[in-house]
Amino acid sequence: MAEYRGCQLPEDLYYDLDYVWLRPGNDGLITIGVTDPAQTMGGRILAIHIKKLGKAIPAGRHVATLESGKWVGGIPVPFAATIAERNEALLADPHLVNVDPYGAGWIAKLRPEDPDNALAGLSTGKAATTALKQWIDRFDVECMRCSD
Amino acid sequence: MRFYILILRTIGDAFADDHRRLEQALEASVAHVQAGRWDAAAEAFVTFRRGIERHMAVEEEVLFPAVEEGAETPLTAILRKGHRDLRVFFDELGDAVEARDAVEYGRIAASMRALLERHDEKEEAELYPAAQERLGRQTATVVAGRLAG
Repeated sequence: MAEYRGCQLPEDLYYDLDYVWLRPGNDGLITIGVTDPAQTMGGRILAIHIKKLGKAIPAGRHVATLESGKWVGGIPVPFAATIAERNEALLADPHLVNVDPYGAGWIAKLRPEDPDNALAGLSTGKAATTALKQWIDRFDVECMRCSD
Repeated sequence: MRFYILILRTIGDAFADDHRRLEQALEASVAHVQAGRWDAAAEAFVTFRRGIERHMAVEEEVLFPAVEEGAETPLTAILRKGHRDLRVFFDELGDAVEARDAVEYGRIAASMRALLERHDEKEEAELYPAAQERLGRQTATVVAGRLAG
């Protein structure tokens, strides 16, 4: 896994090169979550709202909103999709986004409207790592991972 | 002989006043939604959106470039990103008013209110004083005048 200024940047994920990572599964669903640099910039997440199961999300609209003491932000879905699963554990403990952004802190699983092209506009591998490093520099982020 | 009085306003005063005006416009739309007055809510939302888009456009076209002097700074990067994030919330508010979904409208408005509060604080504390310093008092008055449309 690539690391830059303390931020972990897994090369096997897809990125919108802003807040979001995506992981395609074998079941046709795509898991969405928040990147390590984005969770750092947001600060300790205190509250999360995830839209209802089965809700159709047009491309670019939010699947969830997160709130910390210093930040409020929406988590945009890069492609049109329906919410197939929500991470209910996050509703009880939103801080999981900070503790394990690529694992237990996942937000939702999405069923894309157009599975063949859902990931087409996203970035992955070394190209994504390079672009994410620029993002980290642009916003002057130094990542730190909360342990609890 | 006629005397003209030119009122010179600071960037900070004019834009902070506009923030308060826009907060009131948003609250007016929320009040209409809560009362089930959907036509009035739609009209109030359009008024809010038109006003805030104009406000953000003046910042993006005049204030950010004045502060950047050719190179984006961490401050303008984060504020630009804030504008982009806010516009998604505006679209979602538009969807909610069109769908006449009062619960969703209230929820999005609450998130947006919190986001705007933090965003506005940053602009008032950091962006406007820096822009004022670079633009000078007279130009600042002209810029502030653009908020009125």
